[in-house]
Amino acid sequence: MNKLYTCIACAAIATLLCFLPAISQEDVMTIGGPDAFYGFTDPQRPVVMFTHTQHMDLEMIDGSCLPCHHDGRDEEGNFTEGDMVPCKDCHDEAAKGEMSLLNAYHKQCIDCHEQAEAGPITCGECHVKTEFYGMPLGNDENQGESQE
Amino acid sequence: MHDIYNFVVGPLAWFGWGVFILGAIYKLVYAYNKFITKDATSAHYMSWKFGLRSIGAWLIPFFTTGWKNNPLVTAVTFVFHICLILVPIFLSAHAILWQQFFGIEFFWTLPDNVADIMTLLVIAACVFFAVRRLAYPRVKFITEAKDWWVLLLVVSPFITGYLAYHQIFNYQFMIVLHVITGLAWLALIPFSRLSHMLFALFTRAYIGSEFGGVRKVKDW
Repeated sequence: MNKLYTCIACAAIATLLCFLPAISQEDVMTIGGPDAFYGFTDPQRPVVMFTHTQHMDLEMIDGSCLPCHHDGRDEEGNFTEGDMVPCKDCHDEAAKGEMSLLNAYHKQCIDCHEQAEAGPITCGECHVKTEFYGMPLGNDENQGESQE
Repeated sequence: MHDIYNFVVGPLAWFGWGVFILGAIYKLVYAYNKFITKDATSAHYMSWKFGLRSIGAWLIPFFTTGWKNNPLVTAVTFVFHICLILVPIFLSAHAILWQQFFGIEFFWTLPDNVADIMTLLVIAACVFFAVRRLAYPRVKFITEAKDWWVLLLVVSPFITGYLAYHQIFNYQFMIVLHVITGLAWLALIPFSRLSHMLFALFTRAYIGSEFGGVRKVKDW
């Protein structure tokens, strides 16, 4: 009998572990880089720090998963809600054109920031360089804070 | 700062491109009319064969006597012009702006590290041209104030672009300055010494036609 309880406990823990990453969504997501969970293993520009929770708390998002987690459009052309998966699951890194991962990130971020009149819209505000041939530039503290 | 950025990449960019395109058309049409009315005898000798032959010959580095006489100037000139044309068009960040504003997708862009070196080559070439204007008496003799202005005009988008890309100094200020200097560069092409970008092929074809058709010699 003890064996059965142990098995059930193990299964429960395993199940929990599977869902844990979804529940404990890290606040700062690093987009790009060698581990590259969000795409771009060998990025040309500096990796982008994205504050996931901070964005969910914004008034215009209001806890909704749209417009980021979308899946197609309705008759009026608005995004319909999609799965809570990283962008790269649908938007291919190697692809060209509108559906490419590069365009998906740029379009989603910049269009929303333009609409909100807040958040970074130029290249270097997201892709922050921290050093110039080994010399620190002191740009680290500006990262993700260009909320004008 | 975003308001200023949106202004320079929006209305100001339309203005800069407008002046460039309309100015270029105006200058080309004006020059063509002037040529066929005031210089009809030369116009009569214009030839595709001799014109294209001359353009082709002068496009090959060290092929012509003119290129052979000054090997260093020739090398710098070729590197300078190739980088100057390729970088602004095929820079990945510029391709993203084309995508963002017009939905135009580039089939190929320069890798950033290559574009970085090419930018430095343009700046180095401009320093070379400046030193040459000061150091060589025969070049110094024909140098006017406008030659310095045009050199400054050409190099400034590359310097600001380099500083903006590497995020040296204030990035937001630098990127705005980069867009403004780049647009000034475009808008002044038809109205400055940079107009050789519009006319070079035609002047070459004219000289080639005259040498080939009238003097019966090569012009290189």
